[in-house]
Amino acid sequence: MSVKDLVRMANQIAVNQAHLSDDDAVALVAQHLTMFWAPALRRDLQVAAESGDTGLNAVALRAVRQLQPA
Amino acid sequence: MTLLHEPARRVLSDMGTPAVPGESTVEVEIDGLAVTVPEGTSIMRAAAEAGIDVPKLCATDTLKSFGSCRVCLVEIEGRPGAPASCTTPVAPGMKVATSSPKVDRLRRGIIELYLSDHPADSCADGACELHAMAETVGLTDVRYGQQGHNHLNIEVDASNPYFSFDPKACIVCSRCVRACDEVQGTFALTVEGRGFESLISASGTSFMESECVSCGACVQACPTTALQEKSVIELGMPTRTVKTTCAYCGVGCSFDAEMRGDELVRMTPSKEGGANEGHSCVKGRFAWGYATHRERITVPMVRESITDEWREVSWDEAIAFTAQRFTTLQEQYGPDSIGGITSSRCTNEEVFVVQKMVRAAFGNNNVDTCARVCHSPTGYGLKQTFGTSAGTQDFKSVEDADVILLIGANPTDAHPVFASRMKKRLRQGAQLVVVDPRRIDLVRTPHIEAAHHLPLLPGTNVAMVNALAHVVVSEGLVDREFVASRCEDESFAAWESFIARPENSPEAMESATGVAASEIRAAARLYATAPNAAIYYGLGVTEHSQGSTMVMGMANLAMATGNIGRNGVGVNPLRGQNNVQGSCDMGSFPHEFSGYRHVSDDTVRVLFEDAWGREMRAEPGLRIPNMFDAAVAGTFRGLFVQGEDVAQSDPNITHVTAALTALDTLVVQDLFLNETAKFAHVFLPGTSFLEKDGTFTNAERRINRVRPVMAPKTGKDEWQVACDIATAMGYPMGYDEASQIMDEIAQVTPTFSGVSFAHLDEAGSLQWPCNDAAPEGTPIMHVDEFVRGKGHFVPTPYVPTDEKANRKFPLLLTTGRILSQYNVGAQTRRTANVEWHSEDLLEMHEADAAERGISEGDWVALNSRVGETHMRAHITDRVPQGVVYTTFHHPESGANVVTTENSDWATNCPEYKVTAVQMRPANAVDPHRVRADA
Repeated sequence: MSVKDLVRMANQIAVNQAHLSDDDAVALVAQHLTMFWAPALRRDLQVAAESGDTGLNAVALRAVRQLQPA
Repeated sequence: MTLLHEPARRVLSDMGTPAVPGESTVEVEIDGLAVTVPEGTSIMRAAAEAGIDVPKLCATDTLKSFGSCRVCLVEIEGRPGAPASCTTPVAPGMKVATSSPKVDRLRRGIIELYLSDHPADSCADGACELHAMAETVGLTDVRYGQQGHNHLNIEVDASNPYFSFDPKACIVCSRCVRACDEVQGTFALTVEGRGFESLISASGTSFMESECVSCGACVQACPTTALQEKSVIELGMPTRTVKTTCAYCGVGCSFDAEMRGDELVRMTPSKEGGANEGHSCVKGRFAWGYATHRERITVPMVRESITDEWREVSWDEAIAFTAQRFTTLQEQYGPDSIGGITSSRCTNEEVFVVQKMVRAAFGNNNVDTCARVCHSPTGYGLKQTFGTSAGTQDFKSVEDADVILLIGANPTDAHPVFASRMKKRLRQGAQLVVVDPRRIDLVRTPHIEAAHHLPLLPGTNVAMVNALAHVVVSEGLVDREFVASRCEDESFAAWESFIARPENSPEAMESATGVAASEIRAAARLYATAPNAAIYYGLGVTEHSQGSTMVMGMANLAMATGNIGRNGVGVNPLRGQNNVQGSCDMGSFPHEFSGYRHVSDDTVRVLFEDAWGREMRAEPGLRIPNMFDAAVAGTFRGLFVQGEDVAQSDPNITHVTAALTALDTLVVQDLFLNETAKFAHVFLPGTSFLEKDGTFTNAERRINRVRPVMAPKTGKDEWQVACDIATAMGYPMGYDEASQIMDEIAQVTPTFSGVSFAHLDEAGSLQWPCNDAAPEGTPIMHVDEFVRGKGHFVPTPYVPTDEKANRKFPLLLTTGRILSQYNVGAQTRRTANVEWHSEDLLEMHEADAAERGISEGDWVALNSRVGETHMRAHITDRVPQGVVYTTFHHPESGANVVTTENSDWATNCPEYKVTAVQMRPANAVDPHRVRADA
């Protein structure tokens, strides 16, 4: 899956948690990625997040960095 | 003429008039037998309760009594004359004689008169109740002959492809008219003329050109052979019956498959069917011919490459070929390089074994189902709020609804039998609110007019539900008692604070939704103040970038107003396919086992590991769009597709076909060589519903038996195919019969623990949860507490979709279904239903058409940022300016060529309902769809 698409989807999850505080939103996005995304997708996103400017929004980026190694 | 006939079969179990509800009873004496019945019951029904069949023609227990035929006359002690027993209610102490020299003579005289203007040859095989009644009353000769003024030269109306109307055999009893009115609610038929000139008419035209929707209710009601299935005329009356379940929409109607030998003659709706109670639609009733269509493939086929010709092979070779290729791929590219897709058209048992094959034999969780592209947001949203992925009510519940909030659903086209039930309630006075960009039929149809139609712009559902909820909160309409006792304090407080914000008000949302705030406020008040208010919704809710948010928004609204946990209320998904509910229940999603239990749950995983003898993965697998993306990327190499046509049904077909082309091994199990099969290396012929032994679960969680009426034309049950593949891949899997699969489902799924074929056969159907706590099932959920305990409110911020109209693509396309066709049309396109809908049309507002120089019927090129297709224009005021609409039943038009990869944030359910498009006149038809340059 292209990183661009993964970023778009992760950002979309984050944007839909706008009613939460940043900390709660980050936790929820991380939980969602863990519960519903296959490890390979999370791994690609983690690699991309550590490699530079991927376009992840602030909440999604923090959430990805909180993920356990996939 | 001399008469000698067998009684008609369908007369025997008919009580004559409908049951009357009520506690108060009346005791009467009929033919010397004492009988106690509810007050208001007809004498005819009371007699039937006592085991006495009063002769009748115009009466039937599915219709209100009418009293026109006068055959059911009785004598009542102390009363003059001979009143009709169908229209005369019982009274305390009444003494009735259903037979006496006087009424017997009257009956014979009436029937003799009917027969004097009735063709003698219309009674073949006992199809005609009139002749059966003649036999019953002992009429052996008709004295009058047929030389007088009669109706015997009127032409047959054979315009409908499935049934004909022969006025010669018609006795103008009005059962057909009343069935159309009372059962179907279409009001297409009438009696024209008076006295001897009276004739049943499809409102002055042929049946085919009329408003008739071919539901078959009139044919079912007709006591003679005036309205009769053409298949019966051709093949003769059936000789045996098998009870089974329709394989079309999520209503899941029960049918009697009526056979003559091994040939299916007709499908008649079962009165005992909990979902349909004797009603049907044009698809289930008539459109079953696809099962024996000449294009059906019944022999396995393989090929090395998709450019090769297909080669017919034995089952053994096909299984070995499939297993060898899948095994090789896993050896070469890793265990996660293959996966499977289950089908909502297949039985629970067939689905269960496919997901088991993936989890146990493939050794991964790369299993998904076509519900991914329809109701996956329902699963997510209802689980978050209520605790499980299921509609809350049975269909019958709508009979107690006072207000119906219908959102993003078009039941008269997509769920017609439930729509008839809903229309009946609306005609009784329930109020209707329709939330839909398009003016669906229910907005205004005979004897029904919605109190409010909120024609919101596509993509603004969440703005709408927030505005509705804002009114509830800000105008003091919250059911505080319900919320306090049944819901979480903390989550409600957070939601209440969120929804009360000014940005959620109808006035603030007006610019987004395009609907006047005053209308939204009025609709919200109507819903919130009704004694019983029910939400029904369809894919117009789920197939959005905020599909899951919208489901939670509706759940919030229902909880806040106390509309959960009793008859007449609830949140009810109208499922698209016959077994969407079941395929989801069976563990088809990559993140959960059967019964919606997450794969990360150690206890659950151990349960399956013990049962299946293989280690289970604790991480979710790939979803369908993930599989396609991974295929294009080269990491996903093999796919098993059970009964789905993803190359037609899934969005952005250019991308889908690229993915399918990239696969090393694609295995398709289907009835026909569908669009997806063009990319397949193995074709495994599937079985039609007429050959299946198993169960379907409908939208009300009702598990119905699907019984085979003929042996599999492929020589192998579908579940056996999956078992054979698993076994050939080194995981022995096998069952002697389908009932053993259900037994295993019950063993590993707590909500199904009380389900078995034997229990289903005994009960007729069961609604899960069916277990020790609810041994006979659960018609209404969340009665005393939610499945999750306390109801959970979730704030639902409105996030506009990224798919926006712009200068290049200024219109918004939304898609849907039409009555006569079903999904990608693989079944219905192979029936006479194409006479109603032979192509997909693009509905557009006249202003949008005029601006582009498009006239009715013109070919139009429709393009989005991902593709272009062609279809003909239909100019209508059903859609507002700026919105266009089409169906997706025909591969030639391929509506999904233009739909995009945008999807629901939580589930990746595609956003079919919003695509920014442009259109232009197309001078010639281009059958080849092209990828847009953009």
